[in-house]
Amino acid sequence: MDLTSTVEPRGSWTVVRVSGDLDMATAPRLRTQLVGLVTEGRSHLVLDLEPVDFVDSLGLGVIIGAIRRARTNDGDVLLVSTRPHLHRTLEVTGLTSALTLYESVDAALAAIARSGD
Amino acid sequence: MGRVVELEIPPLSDHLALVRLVVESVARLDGTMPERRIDDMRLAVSEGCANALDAQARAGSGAPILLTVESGEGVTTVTITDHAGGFEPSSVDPIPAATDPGRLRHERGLGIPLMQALVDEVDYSRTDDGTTLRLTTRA
Repeated sequence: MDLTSTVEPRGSWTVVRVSGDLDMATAPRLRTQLVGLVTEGRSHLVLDLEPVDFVDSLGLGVIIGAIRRARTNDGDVLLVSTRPHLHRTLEVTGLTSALTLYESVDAALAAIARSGD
Repeated sequence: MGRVVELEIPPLSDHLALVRLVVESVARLDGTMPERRIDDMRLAVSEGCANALDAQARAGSGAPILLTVESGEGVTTVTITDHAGGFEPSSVDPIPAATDPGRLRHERGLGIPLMQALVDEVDYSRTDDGTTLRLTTRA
């Protein structure tokens, strides 16, 4: 399934909601979009991956690259997904402890507000 | 022994979604494979196919990639045959440990260790002009 995304501001954060499959065919497009947002100064991103049905290692690479790029620019990327396939992929790649998956955009933003960031 | 489905795709990444759809559909027909194992197989096959596409692109080969999916009695086996002239799996580095600070820099090269973590058997064999990757999952 093809990849589509929508971008919506939420206070000082920008929510990018991604749908479809994030794989070798579609990951470069998401990378370009996320690089563009950080370059525009929007380095506080919420990546809502709930509608994403599949993520491969290249897709994971785009997510990791976006986090690094955002943090380099004094921002961060919050990840949202309750989907078992993504939790499993993070588990087998050893990334569970490095990356937090929030259950919703609201939960992600609430957690950040609590931590005083 | 179960059913065998064959699929030949052009070496283009926009066909990976079709490969995943076929693999998960055939694995599900057997009726004994838990969804979690089907998810694992789906990702492993997609990674294996992506590697085959990369290898053929590097080798400049536009030949089709052949997949077979065999499923029955709780075992699903997928083979992926490319025409990229061969490859040495032992030359691939393992994924750095999760505690390694370099872990988040590791954006590529996750494919083979990922396959090994996801399915029960990962086996490569040489063909005349390429490699056959065989992935086996038991329910």
